[in-house]
Amino acid sequence: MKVLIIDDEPLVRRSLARALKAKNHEAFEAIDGQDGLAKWSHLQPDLVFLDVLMPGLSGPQVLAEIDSKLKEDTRIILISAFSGEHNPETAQRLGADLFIPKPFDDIFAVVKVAEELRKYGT
Amino acid sequence: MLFWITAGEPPTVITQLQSEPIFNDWQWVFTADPFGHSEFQNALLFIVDTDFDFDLFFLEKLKLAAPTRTRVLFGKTATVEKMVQAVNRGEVFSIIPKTSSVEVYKQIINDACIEAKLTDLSHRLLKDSSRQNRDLEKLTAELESRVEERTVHIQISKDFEEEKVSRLRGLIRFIQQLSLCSSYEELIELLRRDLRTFHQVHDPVLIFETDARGPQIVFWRQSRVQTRAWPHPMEFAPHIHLQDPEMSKLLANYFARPFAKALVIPIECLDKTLIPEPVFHLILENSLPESEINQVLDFCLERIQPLMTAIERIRIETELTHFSYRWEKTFDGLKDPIAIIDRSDRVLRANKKFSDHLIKKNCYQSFANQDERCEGCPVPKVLETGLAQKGEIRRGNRTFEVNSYPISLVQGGMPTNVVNQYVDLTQSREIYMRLLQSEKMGALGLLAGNIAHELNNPLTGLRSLAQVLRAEQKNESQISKDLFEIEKATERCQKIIRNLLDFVYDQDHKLTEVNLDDLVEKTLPFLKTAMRMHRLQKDLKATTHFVLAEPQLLQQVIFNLVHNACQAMEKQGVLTIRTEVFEQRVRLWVQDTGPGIDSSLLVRIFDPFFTTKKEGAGTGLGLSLSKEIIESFHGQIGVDSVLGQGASFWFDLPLVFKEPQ
Repeated sequence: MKVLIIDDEPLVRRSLARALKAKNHEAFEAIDGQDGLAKWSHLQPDLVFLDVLMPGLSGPQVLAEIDSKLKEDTRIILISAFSGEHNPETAQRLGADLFIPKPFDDIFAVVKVAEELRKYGT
Repeated sequence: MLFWITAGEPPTVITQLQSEPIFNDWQWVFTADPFGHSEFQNALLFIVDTDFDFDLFFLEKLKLAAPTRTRVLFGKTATVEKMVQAVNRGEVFSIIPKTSSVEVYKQIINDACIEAKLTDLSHRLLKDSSRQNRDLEKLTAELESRVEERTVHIQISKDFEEEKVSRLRGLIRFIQQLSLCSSYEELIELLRRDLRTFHQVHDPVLIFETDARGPQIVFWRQSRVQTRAWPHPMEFAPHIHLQDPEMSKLLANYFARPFAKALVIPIECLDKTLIPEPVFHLILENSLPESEINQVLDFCLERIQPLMTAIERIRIETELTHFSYRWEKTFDGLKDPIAIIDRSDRVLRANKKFSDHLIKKNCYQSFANQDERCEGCPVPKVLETGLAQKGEIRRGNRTFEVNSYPISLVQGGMPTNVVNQYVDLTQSREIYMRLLQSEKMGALGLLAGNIAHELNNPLTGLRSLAQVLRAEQKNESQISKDLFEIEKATERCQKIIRNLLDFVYDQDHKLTEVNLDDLVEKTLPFLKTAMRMHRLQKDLKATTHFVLAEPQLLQQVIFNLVHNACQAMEKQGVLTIRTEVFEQRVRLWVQDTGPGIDSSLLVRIFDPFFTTKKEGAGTGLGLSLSKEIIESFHGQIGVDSVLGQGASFWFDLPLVFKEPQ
């Protein structure tokens, strides 16, 4: 599957991309919200990992601006290191399918969750 | 007067005798009916002519009619026997023989005349003397009766005087005792004792109204005097009621028993300027007959004036007592310490807040426990300027603002005394410091949130990357092991960040079931720097027990205690943290091997701003906040310490039974 990772933290992008590639998925990285929005339209990924707190456009802003048709066709996983104001419910309201708080205990578990989500929908 | 009793003419010789000089003072009456003669009473001598009608009956009749007169017989004598009878029965003085010579006649008649005069004289004398005797007797009797009468009078007046004296004595005694009475109760008791002489008068009752408390009733019941509120309005009765049926009814209802006649005596108050006008009614329950009521009334009236005076005195005394009591209570009720001192700092009066114990000589000794005037005391300036001044002094670890006001008892003169009001500034500072503390915590929370985010992101990447790289290693190579270490380190970092967030975020102030052992484990990582020099001994035995608390606050307490313990140990020491369950409580000990705490400081160690640390090293709020937190969760906090052997701070909290999940 084609996965887009939108996160301003290079280590997160890199680790997630490598874990996905290790499981034979295509992984693309966007360094912030603006970049993510462009790459999302251009690449049309099957699944997007979207960080909440980013300089410039934040995760929720990206979700608000992305083409709704495109949004419909993509599985979206919201990730955040600041779990204060977000939880699965708020994520759902924003149009995301899943919310995974950072830090991840096991990166491969995250990949597994993403695969499951792609396979079975929400 | 000489009566010659004859039927016919007396013999000539006799008539001639009339003119004899010896008979000059004699008036001769010749009559046949002496009893019918007007001069009968005046006749001293009766000469009865035997020719006339001589018989003994006539003589006897004459003797009866004039017993004290002399009787003489004239004429021939019948027989000797008849003569003897005449002498014996007629009591004839002499007999003049008819045949005698003129001389004999003269002689005998003269003798008879003398005898008659003597007899008359003696009779009159006798009569006089007997009359005098009678008079004397009468006088004597009169005298005796008068003496007796006088004696009786004297006795009566003596009794009267004695009674009066004893009454006066009673009155004096009453007045004396009255002067010792200091309450209406004592007054009623005294009256009750005094009225005991009257068996038909029962215990007296006093109803009065002097102030806003309303009418009061004082009475004797169950062998003691009692005072209660009188549930009826009071109106001053201007006159004495010998029998007030209305009052009897009210009192019968009040005492719930029959009440005999009520004698109501109003007692006027001397001071009539007061509002509301004081009213006193003395009520005597009695079953006196009407004839005796006056006696009781007199008894009472004699006592009214002293009673009025005594009541007035008691009223004023009570008012004064109340007044000063109210002032004292007001004085003591003020939250700030207040003292009145004189020019040489001696405490004249002070409220309880000023000093709980005996007031010592000077204000600085009593208040601040110092031997000299407190630094910053404004009193000297007040005395100098005569104006109110402000200053700040310290007592122990508390700061007081002293507001000093001058008092001058002499108009316009220099202050003789000073009133000091001490306002504890420590408390307001404490509030300020706590506010600051909580602001600090809030800012720290915000900061921690940001830091957590900033750290969490790279940490997540690091850990995940380590996991990915390790997964790419085919076998358990050295790199794989290193990567595992990296992963573990990042995990530890993440955990610390999470705990830090929990610690500084005052999330929702909710009481939750907390396991103390867990909380200790979560808190210790923050204290690694503080503990780095010391050896840690953990002995946690409350792993399965829970207490109800706000975890963040409790964590602060643990943090404080451990941090303090580490700071207390200057050299390398042993820090012991123990938990134990006993008597439905969990107790946690934090023990150090520092220098220990002086016993004099132990009592104040939980006071706000109490600190032994160097300036700037601590706020002095840690332990006082900890105490507040622990007590808010119904716990207790304390410290055991022996100088030179370290200190052991502890707190305990009640256990809760957590439902098994």
